[in-house]
Amino acid sequence: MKELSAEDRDKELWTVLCRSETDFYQARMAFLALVDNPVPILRQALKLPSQRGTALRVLEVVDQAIREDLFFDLMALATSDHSDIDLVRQAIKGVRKPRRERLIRAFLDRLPAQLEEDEYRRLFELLTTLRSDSVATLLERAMESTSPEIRTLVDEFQPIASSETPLTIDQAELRSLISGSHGWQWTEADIELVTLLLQGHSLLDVSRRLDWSTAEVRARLESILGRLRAATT
Amino acid sequence: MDLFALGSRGSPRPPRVGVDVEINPSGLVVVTQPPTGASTFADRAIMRRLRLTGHLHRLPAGSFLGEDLAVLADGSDVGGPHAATHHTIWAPNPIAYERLVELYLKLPWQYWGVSR
Repeated sequence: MKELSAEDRDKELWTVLCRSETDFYQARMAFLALVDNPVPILRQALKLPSQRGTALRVLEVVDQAIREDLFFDLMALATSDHSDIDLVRQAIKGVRKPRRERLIRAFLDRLPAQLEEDEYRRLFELLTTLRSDSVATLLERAMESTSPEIRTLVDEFQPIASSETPLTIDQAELRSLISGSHGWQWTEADIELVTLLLQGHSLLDVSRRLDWSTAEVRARLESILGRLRAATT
Repeated sequence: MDLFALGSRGSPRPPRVGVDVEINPSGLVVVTQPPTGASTFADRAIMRRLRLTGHLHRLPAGSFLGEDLAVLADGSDVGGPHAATHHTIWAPNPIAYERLVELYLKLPWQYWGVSR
C-alpha cells in the first residue's frame, strides 16, 4: 500500500478536524432545536466528568433561563471542579448580575455547615471574580469557622474583596493626563494597564490579565499617575 | 515536566466521584473517553491566571506512576478541552475507586506551598 506523503497526511488530519468540528456544531444545533427539555439532560451531564465539558459548551450558547435553572449545579461545581473551572465560572457569569446575586445568596443560605478549606477557596475565588456582594457573607461564615485554616482565608481574601470595590480613579483626569503626555516614554505594560482600566476592567481583571498581583497593579498605577501629574505641571 | 495539584496542606486532593471520576455499581472507576481523573497543571502561572489558588503539591518530572495510573496532557496548549497545561492523572483500566485514591496519594508528591 502506498504511504501518504507528509503533505497529504497533514491535509487528511486537517480534513478530519474540520469534519469533526462541523459534526459538533451540527449536533449542538440539532440538540438545541429538537430537545424537549434540555435541563435534566444537562444537569445529569454536569455530574459526569466525561460529559461535563460538552454540557458547559452547550451552556455557553443556551438561553439564560437554562443557565438559571442549572445555577445551583454550576455553583456546586464551582466549589469542587478544577479541570473545567473556567467554563463553569463563565456559565455562572452568563446569568445577569441582579438575578445572579439573588441566586448566589440562596446558594450560600443552603450551603452545608461543614465546608472544606478547598471549597471555601473556590467560592472566594468565584465571588471575588464576580465582584459579588455575597463575598461579605462568605467572609463572615469563614470567620466563624472552627478550622484555623479556613479562618486564615479571611486574611487572604478580605483585601482582595476590598480591592474589588471600584477603583477610584478619575478617568477624565487620567485621559487628560495621557493626552498631555506625548513626550513621555510609555512602557508597553503601562499602556496595557491604563488601556484596560480605561476600558472599565476591574482591578482584579487587570491583575489577572497582566499576571501581576492587585497590589502591584495599584502601585504601578499610582506611580504612573504620579509621574504623569509631575510631567504635566 | 513537573505537575502541580491543589489540595490541603497534608496532601493533594484525590479524585472525587462525580467531580473527577465516574464509578460503576461495582465501585470500579469507569474508563471514560475522554479520560477523566485528577487534575494537575504544568504551569503555575496558568493556575494563577485561572484563579486557582491554595496548597500546591508538586509531582516531579519523570515520577514513576506505576502500572495502574497514566497521565494525559489534555490542555488547550495541545488542542485539548481543558485549560492550558492541564494534565489528567487517570486509570486506563477499571480499578476500585479506593485503589485509585490510594495510588494517587502514594505518588511522590512534594508540598510546594500556598499559591495565592
